[in-house]
Amino acid sequence: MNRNNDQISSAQLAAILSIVMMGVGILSLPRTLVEEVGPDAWIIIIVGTGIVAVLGFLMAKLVTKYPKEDIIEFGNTLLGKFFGTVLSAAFFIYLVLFTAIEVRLFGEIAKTFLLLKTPIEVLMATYLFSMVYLVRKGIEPFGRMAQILFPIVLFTTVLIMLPILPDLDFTYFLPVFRTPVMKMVKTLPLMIFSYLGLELTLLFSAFVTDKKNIGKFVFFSIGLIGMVYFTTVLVTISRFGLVETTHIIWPALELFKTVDLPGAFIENIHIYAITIWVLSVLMTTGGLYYGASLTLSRIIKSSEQDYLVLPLFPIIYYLAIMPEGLARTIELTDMFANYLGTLFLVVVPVGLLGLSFFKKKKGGRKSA
Amino acid sequence: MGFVDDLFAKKKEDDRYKIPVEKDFEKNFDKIKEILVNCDDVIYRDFHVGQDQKMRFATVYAEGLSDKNLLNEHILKNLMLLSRMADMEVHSLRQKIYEIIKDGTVAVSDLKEIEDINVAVDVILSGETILILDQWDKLLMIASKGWPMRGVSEPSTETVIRGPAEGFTETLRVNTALVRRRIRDPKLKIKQVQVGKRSKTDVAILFIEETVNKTVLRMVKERLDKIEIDAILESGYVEQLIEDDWRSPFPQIQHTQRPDTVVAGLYEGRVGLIIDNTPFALLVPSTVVTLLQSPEDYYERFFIASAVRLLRFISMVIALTFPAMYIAITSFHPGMLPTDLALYVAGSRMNVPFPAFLEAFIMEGAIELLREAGIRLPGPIGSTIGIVGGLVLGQAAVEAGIVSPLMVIIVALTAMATYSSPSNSLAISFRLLRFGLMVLAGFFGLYGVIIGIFILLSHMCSLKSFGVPYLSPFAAANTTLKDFKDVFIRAPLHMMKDRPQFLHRSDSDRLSKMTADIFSREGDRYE
Repeated sequence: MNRNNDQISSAQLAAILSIVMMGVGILSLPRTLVEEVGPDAWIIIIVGTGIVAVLGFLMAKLVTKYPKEDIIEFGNTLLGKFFGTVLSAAFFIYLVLFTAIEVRLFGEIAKTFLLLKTPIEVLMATYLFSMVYLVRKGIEPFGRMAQILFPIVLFTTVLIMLPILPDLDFTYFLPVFRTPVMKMVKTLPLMIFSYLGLELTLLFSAFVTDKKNIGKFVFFSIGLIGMVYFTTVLVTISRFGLVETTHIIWPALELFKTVDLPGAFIENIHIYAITIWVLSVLMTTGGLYYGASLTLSRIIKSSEQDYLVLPLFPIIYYLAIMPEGLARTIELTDMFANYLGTLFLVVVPVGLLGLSFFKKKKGGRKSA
Repeated sequence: MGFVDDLFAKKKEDDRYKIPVEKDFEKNFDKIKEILVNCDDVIYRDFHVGQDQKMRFATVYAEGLSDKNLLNEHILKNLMLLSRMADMEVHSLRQKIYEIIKDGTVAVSDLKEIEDINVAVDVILSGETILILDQWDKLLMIASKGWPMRGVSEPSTETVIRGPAEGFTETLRVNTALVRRRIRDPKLKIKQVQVGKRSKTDVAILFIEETVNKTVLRMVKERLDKIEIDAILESGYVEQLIEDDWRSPFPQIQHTQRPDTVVAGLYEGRVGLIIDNTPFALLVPSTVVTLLQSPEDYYERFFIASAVRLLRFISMVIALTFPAMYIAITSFHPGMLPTDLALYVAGSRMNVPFPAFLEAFIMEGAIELLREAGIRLPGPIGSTIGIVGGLVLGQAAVEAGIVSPLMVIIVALTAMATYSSPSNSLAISFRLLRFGLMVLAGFFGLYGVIIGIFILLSHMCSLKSFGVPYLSPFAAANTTLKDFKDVFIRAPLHMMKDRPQFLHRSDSDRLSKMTADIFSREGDRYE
């Protein structure tokens, strides 16, 4: 690539992963969890994060095995040319769909909370458009952006949540273990899918200069996001109670509406919270968008990805306005997470890692 | 060692354009005259030397650029009068005349032999004197530069309360001397190149060999070599021709009038560029953080310096976003304000006939106009304009009900915040970007502002100044926590042991361990 634009540190990778994973999921997570398991949501979060950490470990293992390659290249080595390309194409479609979903969800939320009268099409188009510039610039600026924005987002979230603390009522969680174990196990995938975005490790780790730290930083970001999820769900439930949480579409955002800064000059803090959240979700979508354009450029063996960004724009935009209404969007999102999410978060890394052990033995014999 | 020598090695000269100096006095003299035809400021003086007056000599110089006193007293007098008095044998004289003249007669400190007439013409036009000798195939260059120049005075921009009051002048040599006086280290290298096909402006590249980032140095040299332009009139020319991205609104190279700023930069491992004929030196690489540093930060004690630093960062945010926020909040999200304030804002805006967007544009435009008018007018009238424009116009506009008082407050606050930036070029870019944000706020409210900031941030993240990310150390792969000692705050000097990492310095120790220890507990214990 020209511009010498292909090196990030593993800390930057962690920042990218964290900000991508947080995304939209965090806003609806309290509702979906409470709908399924009620007060035991926090157990699901802890167990789910543990499982994701294992998956992250496997991914880190896989990418450190092929230090200079990304999923397209080692997919080709492990699966052969044809299946490798099929996998890459599937990954590309997955990322495009994922981007479109995020754009749509953003549009819905922005329309509800920020600009009530602006048509959602305009919101989505401006949103996508403001991302194009960054996505065209490649991985280095993206890493730097994540490095700047993630601490800001995290810090503001914590700061805004602080004044709620006195109002919390933790008795909602008692008694624990009210839900049957089978139901909890069935809810686990839901939790795991709020970590979607982790699979970008497979793509971006090829840019990382200090490979040996990848595992450490992937763990770190999963742990951090786990804590954020845990806190958000805990605070939301203990603020709203079980019944109300299930009735609110975006409980985390409603949560900010209840914040009253003591003695503050500013009211309606949630507008600020949403502003910060827009920055964060821009990065989420940007990461996926960049991933999609990068995967496409690798599939067609082009050394640059920047000219592929704009052609993807209408595709993503069209996919994003397709679903009719919010309910249908959420339904499609669940379907997407269940099938493609499982494929790329669980099946592909585990499968490829298994194959790599198998291949290594073979390769070892050859070279010996 | 080898690196610097290689980088600045003389390229093989192109012999095609060389006009060799010949033995014949007339031929040389005529050639120079031919090249400098119609240049009436060049003075030719030919004269005869020796007891028998048989040797013809001539001096050529540009009037006004050369020191006439030196020429009369130490060259012409020696050659014409004293040489006549010397009693010498003609034979031996013929052999050694040139050595005698070179080593014994011409009483000036700097002499050089020149073999190319083109070079001779160049040096004449830069203020030196050429001595043409009879029967010798070399010309003698006598250093006689001396023209009326402004003395070293306090810089008109970047004033400080505490700190040296010296500023650069228009003369390159004086400026390099001002730097050299502050770095008495043989490792301070001053390499000179000429840029500009016609202007042949001298550009001095300054760096400290052991601390400089070699990649940056190489980039500077390569980019300077690539410049092909008629004339360099000011360092702004060089700045625009060697910067990384001309499409960016941000300055990627710092310019300064203060020698102490340049020296501090050199000690940090940056590269300085001093350009002839301008008091503004350049410093590369530059980041947002270095542009927001003032030399005074380091002279003042650290509490005060840190507080001022913080104030400056906040003022930059105000300068960029305040009018946009005003538009967004008053026209899209009035609910963000406390009820009392919201009512007051609505009340004060009740009689205003314009939407907030237009109101802000009018007022911001007026203040830009005021600023521009203030600069163009001479000093005393300039301040009058400020009073008339700022006070009278603002007051009248509010009383007439054209704008709301809150808008005037915001405009004034923004203007003050803008001018609190130590770097004028950064402030200018912020002023421009402010209008962009205001447009976005007018269309999309807070969402527009945040999208504008996002795009702005992405641009800044992708920007590099000579290989150094523009937003270092906030956003760079090799950031360490140490670097933040000199960003929002200015840590006490004894704690800043290392040079800033993000400038990729080669020699990291700024302060010796021993000095640092004096201030730490351990130091006390061992004393």
